Amino acid sequence: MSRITDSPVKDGDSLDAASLNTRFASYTQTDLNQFNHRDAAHDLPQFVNTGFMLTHAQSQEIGLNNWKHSSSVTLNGMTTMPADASPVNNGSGTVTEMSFGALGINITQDEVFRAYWNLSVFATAGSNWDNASSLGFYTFADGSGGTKKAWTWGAVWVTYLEWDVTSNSRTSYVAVPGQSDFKTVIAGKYGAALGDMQASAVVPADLRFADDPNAGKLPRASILTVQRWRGVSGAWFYTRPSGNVTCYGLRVVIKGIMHPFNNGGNNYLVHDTAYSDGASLSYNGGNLAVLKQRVK
Amino acid sequence: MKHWTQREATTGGTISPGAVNDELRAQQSSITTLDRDQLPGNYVSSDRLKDYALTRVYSAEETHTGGEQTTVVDTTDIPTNAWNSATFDVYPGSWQNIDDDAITLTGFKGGHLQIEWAGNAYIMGGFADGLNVPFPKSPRYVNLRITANGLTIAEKRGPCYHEAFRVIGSTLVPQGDVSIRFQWRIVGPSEDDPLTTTGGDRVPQAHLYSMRYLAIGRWR
Repeated sequence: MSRITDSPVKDGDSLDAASLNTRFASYTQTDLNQFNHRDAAHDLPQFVNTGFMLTHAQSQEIGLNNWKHSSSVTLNGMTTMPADASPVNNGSGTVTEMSFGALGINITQDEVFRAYWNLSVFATAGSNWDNASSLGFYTFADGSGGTKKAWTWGAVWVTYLEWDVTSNSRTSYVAVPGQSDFKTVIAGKYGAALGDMQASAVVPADLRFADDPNAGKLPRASILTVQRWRGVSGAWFYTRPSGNVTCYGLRVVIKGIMHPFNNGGNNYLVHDTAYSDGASLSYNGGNLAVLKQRVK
Repeated sequence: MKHWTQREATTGGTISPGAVNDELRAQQSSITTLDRDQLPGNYVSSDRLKDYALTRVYSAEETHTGGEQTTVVDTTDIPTNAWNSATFDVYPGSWQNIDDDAITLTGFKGGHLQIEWAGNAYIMGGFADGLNVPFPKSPRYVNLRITANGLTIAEKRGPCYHEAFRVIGSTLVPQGDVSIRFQWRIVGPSEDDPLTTTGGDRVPQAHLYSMRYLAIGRWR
């Protein structure tokens, strides 16, 4: 090791490129070499091997893991309000929740809790997208004095996270912070402001194209396209504003059919009970994974 | 090798006493401290390191406030069964920031940056099959990209339905505060697109919401 002594620069000193380079060069010594600056640096053997950056990691399968889609779990569209969310389950009544054990996991102020989920889904649209009570359509001129309806492309199923921070019995699940349960009443409908959907991932509930739109007119009826199996994938990043919280369980839940809505200049995602009548969402398997890590 | 690690002097830049002293102190301390020959195994723990010595995590449960895009939002003649969002009456084309303000990753010490941007995106794709549009017609996507200090580090074709998205970027970034932009782009309408309903409402085309991000800087 070596030591360099040099007087510091003070306010008022004259400093130019030459003097700067002189000072910078003053500590160029034989000890300032590859060994001291690289080979002797702290390396893996000097670091503790647990809890240094990642303090918890856990993952599990959710839903009904049948990747050939020969069987699935089906959730019908929600028509009675306010509706509870449907937890993702294995088709035999067992909710595929993530348990963190009797002690739970403690999320502290200096940590970020990361949750990722995915699920294989198949939406069946039903036939009420253009019901007069549904939000699912716009009306356009057909070019012959009449009108045609076109799908808004807005209808979705929403998947989001719930956790239990009360006890390991895990009977008190609520939507995670920043995430609404879509039970807020908005102009007679149930839903949530878009700003209250921090742990949401949506997947389309329908797929309809306008058939040969022509110069801004819709001369034909829309065409339904079956979506078939597809994936939905979500992520949630959570930091504690203050203090700690102990989480005992985490699960993915589903609601639908939901549709865009605006009221009083604000944007919402609300239940569309008319559209939901006759619609369904089938799902198979997926995965829920969490990482808890220090932020500094 | 010797590198600037605190404040690199650049041509045309101004300097202060600290610009020189900080660098000299840092270099001096690096050769007067204990090196690993003097330390036992499993010695370095999070308790013994200064905050952000090796890594720093930046995250937002919503970005920006409310998690919705705030630029190119039309509030005129929007149907009630749609959002105040981008219509072709207000969308000027090309890439748009989700908000006028950039995200700043303060205190980035230089090194590897991984950033994840998640959310949901709406796109109106129902008029892609126009009668007068030749193949491959005009499919609609919400293109997404992340820039760091003005350089694109990740780009994705993006959703073509109303669905969730996640964009992940990874790159090396120099020392200093990092300016992050999340940007989106849609293609224009075809000549066959109906853009106004019979009620005189404008047809919303795209909207990003429930956006959040996580960024991890690693510099040692």
